[in-house]
Amino acid sequence: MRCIRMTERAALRTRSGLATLALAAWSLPALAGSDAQEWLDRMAYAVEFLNYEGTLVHSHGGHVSVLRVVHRVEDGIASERITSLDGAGREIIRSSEETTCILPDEQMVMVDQRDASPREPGSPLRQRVLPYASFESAFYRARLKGPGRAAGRRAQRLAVTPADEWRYGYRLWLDHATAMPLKVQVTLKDGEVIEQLLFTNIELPTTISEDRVRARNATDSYTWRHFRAAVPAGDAAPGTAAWLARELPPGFVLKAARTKIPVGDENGGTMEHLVYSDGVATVSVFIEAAVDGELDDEGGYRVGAAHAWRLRKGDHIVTAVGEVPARTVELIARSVTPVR
Amino acid sequence: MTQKSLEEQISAFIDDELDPRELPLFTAQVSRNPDLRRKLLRYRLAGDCLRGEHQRAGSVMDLAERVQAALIADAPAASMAPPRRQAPAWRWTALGAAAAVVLAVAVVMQAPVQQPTGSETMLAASDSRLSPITVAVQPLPAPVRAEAQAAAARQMRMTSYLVYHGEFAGTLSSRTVASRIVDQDSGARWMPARHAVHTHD
Repeated sequence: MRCIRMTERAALRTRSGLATLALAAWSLPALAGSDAQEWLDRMAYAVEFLNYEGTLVHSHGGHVSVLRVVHRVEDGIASERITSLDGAGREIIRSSEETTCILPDEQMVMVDQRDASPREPGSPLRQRVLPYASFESAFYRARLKGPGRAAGRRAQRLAVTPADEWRYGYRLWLDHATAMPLKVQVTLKDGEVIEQLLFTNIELPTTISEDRVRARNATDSYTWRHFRAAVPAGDAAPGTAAWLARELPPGFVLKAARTKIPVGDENGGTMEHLVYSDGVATVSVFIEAAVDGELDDEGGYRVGAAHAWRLRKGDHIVTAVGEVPARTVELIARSVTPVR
Repeated sequence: MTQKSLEEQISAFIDDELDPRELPLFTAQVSRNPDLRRKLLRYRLAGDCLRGEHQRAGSVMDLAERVQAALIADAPAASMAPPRRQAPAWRWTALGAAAAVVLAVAVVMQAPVQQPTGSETMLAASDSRLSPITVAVQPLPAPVRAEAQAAAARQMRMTSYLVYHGEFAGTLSSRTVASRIVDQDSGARWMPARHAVHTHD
């Protein structure tokens, strides 16, 4: 049985406190600033509100996957289709009302619905817990790194350095004309690249037809599972959470809490969903009732830069998932307890 | 380049022993030569079969990754070089073509790996001109089957989590989360991770 020793827990808390103090000193020289942040703000806008279509190669740990991304904005309302070009041809279709995941290999469609009211023009495709990534904080340092090239286009290179080992850094190649991220490398604090996303080609047309963001798979015979939170995600208030993480890495705060969302299995169970963020990275925590029997996959897992930590807490199972180092999901998952 | 030296390069490439300085020229040749692409594919599949790795789609993808890495490494280097006359258009065209070929090869190499039927399995690329490669395959031991089932369950569970998590991912993470959802092997790729800050009994 895996367990954590109390002395280690205390040591971890001490390290967290010291890290916060160290960060305060580290961040004294102002973040390079405004120029870099301006590029990053433009990047966030470009990803959400420009028309683009391209082939994206995602590589990590000796694995490569190839995606087709079509992102359409019409009258300020965005929609997109992301299709795997290898394997079974899984798809994600995002509209302003819902996210639909089509899994031909499972003959299944998973639909995550948002609130009932249609989105206003200019609404993002994802829940806006991070209005714009906040790189101007004590936890990241963003710097311009000069010109480069990616996807055959002129690019502006940027480096986002993490202040500690609770989060990752990023190297970015932003399209010189539009700030679209053409190449993104995820790095450890020491600069080692652990994951990369690269557009091998990209077009940014003025318009994209609606047909381009429609699903390519015929799903009539598939099993459909609709996921919808009892508390609409857009209105989710942290104060409604029935569970909370009592110990967080420096800079992470609770951004959203959703209750009674479907687990997605055949048992029809529900779970709680907590979202923690440091302004750039997010960690999701899921708490669900344990079914009979031992939890046979307790512990840490990773794929690329993403980590998950899964453990049993009494009659419940807690799973923390995020694009953060292992220690971050572990700390958060272990500290989750019921509010009452 | 003689045909013999090309064969040697293929072998070195398959064995991951090709001199990195030779990679750009080699990938350019691959991009221009369909026969060479098919030969590489067959060599690679055969190698994977001999190592018993043919059921892992990812095992054939490292070929594309290595070629891709060579192209990526070449492109920024060219742009960061001291100012000089603009590179001839054919160079970027060739790089683009090579990148396209890499993707094409990657997709072809991911294609139809049929499941074992009885005592043998057949590997065939989507290119019908390729001769199928037939190898003997032992039935999977029970522990391996159990692990495969556990991996499948883990895959579906992680996919569900990622669908929810993706709704809240930041700008820099949203694409990687989407990639993990649409990558059908991603769930099975969740590997046990070492503890970063704790030791365990």
